Amino acid sequence: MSEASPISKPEDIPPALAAVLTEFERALLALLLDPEADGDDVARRLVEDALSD
Amino acid sequence: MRFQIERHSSGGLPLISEIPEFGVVRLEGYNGVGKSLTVRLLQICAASPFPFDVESQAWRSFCTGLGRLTVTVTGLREAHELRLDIDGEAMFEASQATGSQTLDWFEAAEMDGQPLRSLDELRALLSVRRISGDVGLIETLAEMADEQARLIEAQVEPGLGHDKLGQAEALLSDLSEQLGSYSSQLMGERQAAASKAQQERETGEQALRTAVTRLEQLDELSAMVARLQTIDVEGQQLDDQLTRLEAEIAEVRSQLKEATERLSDAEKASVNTQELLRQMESAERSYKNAAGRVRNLTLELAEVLQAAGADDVNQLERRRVELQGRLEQGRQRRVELDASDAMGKLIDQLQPLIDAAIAAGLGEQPLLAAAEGPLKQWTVVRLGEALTRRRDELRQVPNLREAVQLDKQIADMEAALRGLAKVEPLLEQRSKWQKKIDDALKLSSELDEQLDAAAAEKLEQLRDERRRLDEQLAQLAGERAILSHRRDALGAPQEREALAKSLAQKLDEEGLSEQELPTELTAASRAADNERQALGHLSEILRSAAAAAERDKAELAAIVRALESDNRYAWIKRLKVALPRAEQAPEEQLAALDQLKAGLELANARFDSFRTLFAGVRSGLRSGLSATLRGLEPTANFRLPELQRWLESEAKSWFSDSAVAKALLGDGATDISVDLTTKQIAWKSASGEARNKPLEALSSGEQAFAFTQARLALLSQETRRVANRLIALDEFGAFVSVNRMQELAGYLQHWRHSHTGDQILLILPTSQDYAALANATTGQQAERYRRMAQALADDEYLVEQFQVD
Repeated sequence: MSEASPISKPEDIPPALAAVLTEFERALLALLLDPEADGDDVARRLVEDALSD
Repeated sequence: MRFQIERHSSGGLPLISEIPEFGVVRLEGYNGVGKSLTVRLLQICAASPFPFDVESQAWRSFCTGLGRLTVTVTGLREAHELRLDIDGEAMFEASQATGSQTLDWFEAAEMDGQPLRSLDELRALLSVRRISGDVGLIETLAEMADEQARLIEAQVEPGLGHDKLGQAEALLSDLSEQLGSYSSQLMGERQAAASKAQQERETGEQALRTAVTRLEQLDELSAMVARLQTIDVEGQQLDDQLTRLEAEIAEVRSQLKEATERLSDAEKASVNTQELLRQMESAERSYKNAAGRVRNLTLELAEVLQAAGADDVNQLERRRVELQGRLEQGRQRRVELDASDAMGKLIDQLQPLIDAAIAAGLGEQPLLAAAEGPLKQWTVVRLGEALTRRRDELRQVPNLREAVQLDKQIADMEAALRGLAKVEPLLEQRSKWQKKIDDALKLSSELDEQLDAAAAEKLEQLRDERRRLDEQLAQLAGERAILSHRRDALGAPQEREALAKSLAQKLDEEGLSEQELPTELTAASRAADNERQALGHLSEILRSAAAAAERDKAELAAIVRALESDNRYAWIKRLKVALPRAEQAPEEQLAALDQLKAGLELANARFDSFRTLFAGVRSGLRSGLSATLRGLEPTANFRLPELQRWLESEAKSWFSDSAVAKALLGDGATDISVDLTTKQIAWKSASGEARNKPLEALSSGEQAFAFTQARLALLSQETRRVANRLIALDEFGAFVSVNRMQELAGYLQHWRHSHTGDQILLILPTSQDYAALANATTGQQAERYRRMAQALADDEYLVEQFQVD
């Protein structure tokens, strides 16, 4: 049986996952959890990070 | 917290009726009194994870054995009372209907007298966790990895904001589709092909000009040779004819002189009066004057006709019509030559517009409409093709030489027409003077009537003879004029020499002999034809390549327009990158698009990776890390080294706790590290000596103690906030040696103080005779042992605040 309460902020990320996330993945995850951000912000972040490499 | 269980019916399963509100509670009892079953019931009451499969027989037996009961929890934080009514049979039925737990599993669920609204509300208030002591350290680490995987699946993935991911995916997909419609490489190749075709056509044009110039030079030499041949052959013939003609003229002139003298003598001999003689001489002068004029006019007429190219006075009108027609054509061609540059520029201005219209899909639309004729409508494509053909025609041959030749031809034709215009007046004049000849002869005949018949007849004969000779002389003079004109047209002898010298010099420059000239001329003509044909082919290639390049430009412009104005791409305007702009040159637009496209491709790849990240980490934890720890063959390795380093760090933190380190590694242990590959713990002793030990080699007591740290640490990873938590430490009392109990008690108290919402329930099997211990001790300790012995005797278990004996 499992509990089903989705996390709502980056601090709730399980430590094993937090330990293996790249900086980009962490930032993207934070954006997904941010209620103020939308799909535009996510797409833009993806492209900007790619362009900055 | 205080947990009370009130049974309303006997279900058969033994349960502990009360767990008092001690921070760390010791529950000790004989096997079978319901210690673990009670903890599992409380796990259900808190909607916490519990170890039953709801489809199993064990679950059915558990539910059936519960009967009807009420669990009441008091001493809570953030609430006064939690009350849960359970009917075991009903709970079983509900579990079969829903699978996962719902509020329907309870007959009633109330917090402070109000029904609970959701399981989340219950879970936020209370959590019950059971830690089993019969699990080893390695297994605990494996379970920890499993738990992390479970949390990712249950709490992270559902909270990812899938609508945002879907929106982002749609945006990236739309942009990818838009940018995927062009290929920078292909556009570059087509642009290069167009440039190459342009260069090749220019080279082809130059080659054609060279070939045509060569042909013209050889043509000129051939003309010179022909001219010399004409001069040499025709000139000689003309000279011979003229010589013969001059002799003939001289003969006729001599005959005429004699005839004239004979006539004069005969007149003088026949006339007997001075008056008649004077009249006859007057008539004779009139005749001579008129005959001389007729002769001169005949000569002049012959020269005019020769210059006008008319052989016969009867063909004058036909010749005039022919000349006027040719003159009109020549003049039109001359205008055309003058306009070729201007027309070429006009076509150069029109062609890009036509090509752009074709690129925009308007190629088959009618552009021009003719009033009549086989091609009533000209489509954009057809007009474009016609313009290209005309442009090629205008480019093909240099026109200066043709213009010079044409100017001369026009001047000659104009002169011929002017000459033709003189013919009629000359004919009229000659006719007038011929009439005067007739008049003079008629007058002479009338005067002859005054003579005898024989004399008159004689004079008549002489005059006829003279007239015949006059006419013959006029005829010959005309013929001589024609021959002289033709001879003059061939030039003077010095001109012939100059021409021969010039020809020799030019042949020498060309390295040719006169005999080689025809062959060379044929080859040059063929070469010019080949170059002209090749240029036509190159023009077709250029047109095709240029059209492709134009289509690319149009496509590029359409993409840039879409990025600037289509709302689907509004989001990219806030990108910190230079986007293509409509006013930029195509090369700049292409560079900006390429940069954006490269970024987009990388973003898409990362997006896909992010999509699979969580499943990958779950697999890495379960099928990689956990499996490895349990001695199984790993079937996943996603970020396995990083995950292992994380778990090693966690394990190290347990052993780094001062109490744990002191208990398990000795005083002053430093530089502690855990290697899960070798499953060893390493450290430095107080004396600085490097030590290590397999994790599995820790004694059972050591394992249980370390295990307790580990399991509690695992609980501390729970991300969901809960106000109250009961942690049951079950089944490991047997493994905790008495000498470790002191450290365990200290550790649990320490935990309790740092986790104020937690209550710890330490479940221990009854292993001592407390009645005997009471007899062996005195004071408060003896009293405590007696209470414990009595509780065991009454209920077969005892509950008290945990303390070390």
